[in-house]
Amino acid sequence: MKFTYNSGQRPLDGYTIKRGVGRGGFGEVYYAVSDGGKEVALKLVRGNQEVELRGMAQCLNLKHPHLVSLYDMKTDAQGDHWVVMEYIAGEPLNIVLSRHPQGLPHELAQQWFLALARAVAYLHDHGIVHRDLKPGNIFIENGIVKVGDYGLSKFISGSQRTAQTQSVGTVHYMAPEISTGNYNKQIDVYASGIILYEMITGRVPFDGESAGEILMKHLTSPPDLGKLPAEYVNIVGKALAKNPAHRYASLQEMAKVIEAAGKEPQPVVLKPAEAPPFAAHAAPLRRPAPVQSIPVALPAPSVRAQIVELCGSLSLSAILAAVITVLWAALGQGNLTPTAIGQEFFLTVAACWVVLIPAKLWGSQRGDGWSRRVVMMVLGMCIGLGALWLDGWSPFLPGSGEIVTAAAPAQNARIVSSLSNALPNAAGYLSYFALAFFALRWWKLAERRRPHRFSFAPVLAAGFWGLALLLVWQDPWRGTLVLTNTAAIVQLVSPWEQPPPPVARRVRLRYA
Amino acid sequence: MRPTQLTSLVLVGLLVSATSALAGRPSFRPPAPVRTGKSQVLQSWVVQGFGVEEKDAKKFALEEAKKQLLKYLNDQGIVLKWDPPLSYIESLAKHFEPAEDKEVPVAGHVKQLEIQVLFESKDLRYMLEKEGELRGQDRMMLLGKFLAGLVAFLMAVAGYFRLEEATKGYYTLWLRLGMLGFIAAVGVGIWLVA
Repeated sequence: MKFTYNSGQRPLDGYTIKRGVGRGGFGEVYYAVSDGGKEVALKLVRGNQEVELRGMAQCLNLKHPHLVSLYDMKTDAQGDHWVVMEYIAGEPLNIVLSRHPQGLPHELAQQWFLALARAVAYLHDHGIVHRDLKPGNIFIENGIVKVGDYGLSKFISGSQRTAQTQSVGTVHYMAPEISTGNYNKQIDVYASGIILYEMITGRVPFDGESAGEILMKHLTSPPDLGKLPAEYVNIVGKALAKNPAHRYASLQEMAKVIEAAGKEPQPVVLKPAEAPPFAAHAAPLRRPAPVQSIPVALPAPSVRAQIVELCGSLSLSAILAAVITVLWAALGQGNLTPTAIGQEFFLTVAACWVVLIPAKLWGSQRGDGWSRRVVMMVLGMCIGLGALWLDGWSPFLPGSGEIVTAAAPAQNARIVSSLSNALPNAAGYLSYFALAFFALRWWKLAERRRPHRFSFAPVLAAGFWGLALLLVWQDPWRGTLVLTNTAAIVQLVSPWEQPPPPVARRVRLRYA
Repeated sequence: MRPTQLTSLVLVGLLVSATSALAGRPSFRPPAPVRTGKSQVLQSWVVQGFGVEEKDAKKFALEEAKKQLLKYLNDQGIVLKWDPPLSYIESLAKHFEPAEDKEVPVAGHVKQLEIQVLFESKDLRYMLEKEGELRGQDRMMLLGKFLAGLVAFLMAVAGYFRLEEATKGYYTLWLRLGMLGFIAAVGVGIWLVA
């Protein structure tokens, strides 16, 4: 992604750009710092400037704890228009949801949705329709929801669409009436309903192969409410009504019903098919299972922060491997050859990297442990190949029986037999590391929220498997040492956060 | 059982069985790089050496034996980077004929020595081990340089981002120059070591 301005440039007087953070149809967004040290987001308005600036101007003096604040609008020396906004260091909701494919815990979804509803209701109270509500425009910073991107905001003017041709909203969150060009703030109620559905179930109610198919579903298909918990079925059903008149009149009303859903008992729960359309808000709602505390969404590190962490972990692991190898060599009291010491070091570094890199890529995403084991097994085979390579082994150089056979087919067949252990040796190298990396869940050692900063249990487990796999490999101690050192080093160099106290199982999910 | 579980277990099973088939020996069997008891004679030579003194004649003969040995290995397609020392060639010599005085037309009075060299399969193993060791050392040297460069690069990147974050972008240019300078310095250092 190439941005117009680079870090350190000052296109707008008083602000130094640090880096580009986003780009869209309406321009570019930069992270910048004012001369006084205030961190801000600078939006360079491009494209449909008139619409954008008009929308921004109307929002400039809005103040709400769950809205991204707009500070000012400026014009630079080139005549480009800039909007100075609050900088949000957190991440958008769509990224959080991508890590929770089964949906967020209901208490958290409710908490976030109420914040979203209040923010959008505040916009509506000031005569502004957001028009592009979607998880990508909702940010989570230190557990606080912030609704942003006023790029498409416009005044509620009668009901006819203005002449501008910019598309309204994003197809998954697009209310059916948008296709008619006749819409009002009810499109935000509809989009909010979709977002609530997605936060709870992890998926949008209407999906398809193409934008046309999705739009058609918005227009004609009823949402599958069976995936929702009972207390949300009628609420979401009403918010997603095809007819805007059947939806909640306002987001305040919807928020009140959702709040009540967390407090009021609901003895009778209607199934979606039986539910009278859009009358559910009047029905008593079932009280959800009480929990001790609502979990706080911790911000996951940004991509940039993850790169920094990974670079740091990789370099630190190499340094620690060197230190441990030197100590090991010193304990060996000269019985170890430089070759053995070198191999120990390089294999330890390689093993640490093979654990750290996939662990960082997988991050806190929940994945299939068995698939990951297979990936680790393949990587372990690569370590085995590396060990072979460092041992001077090569299939194309002297040392293999095939070359000798080709060179001297008859008279020196005896040589061939003397070299016949080359293949089993190679198989041993490969399988030793492959099985060792398959046996343990190595990526767990690098998880940010592992139970302890450092634990001896994985080191012992690595040692156990290292020794058990002597069944395969002939040069045991080196391999065992590599595995135990790796288990220790990976824990030492991986970032760690104190895991939250255990709560009810339903909310024991690692958040954002 | 989930498909991934089943697949991974099948893969492990295949790996273990393939390894067992290739290894073809029971567990905990000691490594067998040298089995002197079963060593076979692959080739033998009788070489002669000449010199003013007996030790000169011996050295001459051992060098001749080394040439013969390397030529033999070359003929088998085995080209060694490892240069076997004469002390090792001497260990291959099984029989020394006592030095005799000889009159040679140009050189005059010299000592003549005859050596019989037996080259066995255990010797070939030893030489290939030495060759592998040498090759491994070369590779480790190469890898060491690469790793040093890579670690320096990673440290520079991590340091740059952290410092840039701390200084809030005010010293971006200087930090970038510093990072490039650090990487260049490490690169030059590696090049000088090479």
